[in-house]
Amino acid sequence: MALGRRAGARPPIAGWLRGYRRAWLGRDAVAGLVAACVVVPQAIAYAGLAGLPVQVGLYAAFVPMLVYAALGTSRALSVSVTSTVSILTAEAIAGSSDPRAAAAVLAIVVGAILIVAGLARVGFLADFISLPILAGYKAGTGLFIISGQLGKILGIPVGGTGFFENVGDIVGGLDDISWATLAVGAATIGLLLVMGRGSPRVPAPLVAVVLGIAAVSVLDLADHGVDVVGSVPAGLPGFELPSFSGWRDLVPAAGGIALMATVESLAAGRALLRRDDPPLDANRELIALGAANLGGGVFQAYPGSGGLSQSAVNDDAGARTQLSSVVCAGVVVLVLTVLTGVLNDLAQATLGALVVVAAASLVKPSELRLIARVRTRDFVLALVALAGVLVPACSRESSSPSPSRS
Amino acid sequence: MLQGVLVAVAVSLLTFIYQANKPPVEIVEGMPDGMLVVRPAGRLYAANVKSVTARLAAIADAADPLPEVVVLDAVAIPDLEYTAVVALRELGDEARAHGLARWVTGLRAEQLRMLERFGLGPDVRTFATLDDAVAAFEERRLFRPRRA
Repeated sequence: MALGRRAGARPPIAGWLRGYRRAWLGRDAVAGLVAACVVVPQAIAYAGLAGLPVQVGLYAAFVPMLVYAALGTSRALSVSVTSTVSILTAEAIAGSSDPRAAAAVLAIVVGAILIVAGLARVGFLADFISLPILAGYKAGTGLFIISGQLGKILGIPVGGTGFFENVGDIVGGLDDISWATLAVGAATIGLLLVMGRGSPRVPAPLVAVVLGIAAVSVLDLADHGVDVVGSVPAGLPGFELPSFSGWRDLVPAAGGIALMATVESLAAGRALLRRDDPPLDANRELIALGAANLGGGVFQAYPGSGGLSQSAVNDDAGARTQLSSVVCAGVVVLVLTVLTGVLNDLAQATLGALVVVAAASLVKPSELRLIARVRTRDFVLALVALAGVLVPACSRESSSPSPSRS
Repeated sequence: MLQGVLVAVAVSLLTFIYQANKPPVEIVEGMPDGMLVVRPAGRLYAANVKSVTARLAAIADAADPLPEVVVLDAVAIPDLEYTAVVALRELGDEARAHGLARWVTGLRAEQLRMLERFGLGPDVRTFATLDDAVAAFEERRLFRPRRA
């Protein structure tokens, strides 16, 4: 009986492929399909959070996911896009002349940093994160994301430059609320919360998206002031070396994203570890995530990482190997090639609601309360980290339109 | 010249961090058979607790035969951060999953309060001193003969 986990010999690429049993195929296929029900809506919603068009989110759930499936050491980790990395991306590419190229270059730089870190075997550094500071940072990020997305739910333009600025935009724009938009947004949030409490097996995001599209098309809500996604270019992303002259300016942001991606993905991977799973090799994970980001960068995506919510769904649905992620990526391919027309009537309010509910889970009042009870000094650190996210405003103009005040 | 100063400061800091990150973990000698007592020395914070828990796990792993009771003697730990509390709790839970009884000794009043507020975990016994724990172990031995 081993108390400490000992890493075994290095498995080959796609180690899960060797010795794969037919009996696992059904479980992996089902898990992949179920995971896609969460991954696809999140990819679409988080691309908007990053300030990028919808299809770029789907690109980021395609090649990166496959690359990780080939190189990663976690059984059920689902690598696509996450809210934290998406909002960091938004800040990094804000105000740039070519956001899509900037985002792709950002992914390449993030990938390079992660690979170098993995090769330099600094994966152990991820064990050094102070939990209270992380909790405060995540809470601040969640609040900041919500402040930006509320505009989508209310139909009010929000500048996205800073938390207090966003709140100001919302309060100032309350006269211009679009009630139809709010109805869609509030109903979606209600649905997500109710389903979240009820049956965890039924992927709430997919249901929300389907019902939202149905409501908009049947009730012609687009003519009642509800913003919709509109036409989405169909097709898979081609190989493209992005060129962006200002890439050196992206390096600090890429460093922050690489750190966040590492912390998130390793935490998710560890949370999913079962007794008989081989241990995670942090440095191999860094290399796999780096390669995934590199792959994404040359296939028109933006930075991604392993998200806990998607991975937990994948795991709960019975994922036995990374084949589940291959299946999930297959669904993304299906959406990109055949189903983009369906997305035309997808309301921005639905996407906003998805992001708000996901971002709310970043703010963990019970954890913050526990920290406060256990050690006040650490709670202060958490508050400082939270303030560190909320107080500074973006120095550059964000790419979303500024509100016009009457 | 200035760069040289910066390099020197950076190297000193890194050395300090490296040393602080590997607090020594002592296995206390002279304990009754079946009672494994480990004593980490130094403040436990986010940057060093994982190294300590990894070594504690390795020590418990290497113990042959497996002890009945693993005791964490905290007398040489002047302070604990929240992250360290979480890491110790996780280690305790894993030890429990392997059937080990977990005791803690030598905690200061404030540390004990912190651990209790976070939650020590089921069936974790605490004692003020190591001597108290040894006495309790020998009493337990009287009423529970050694497992075959």
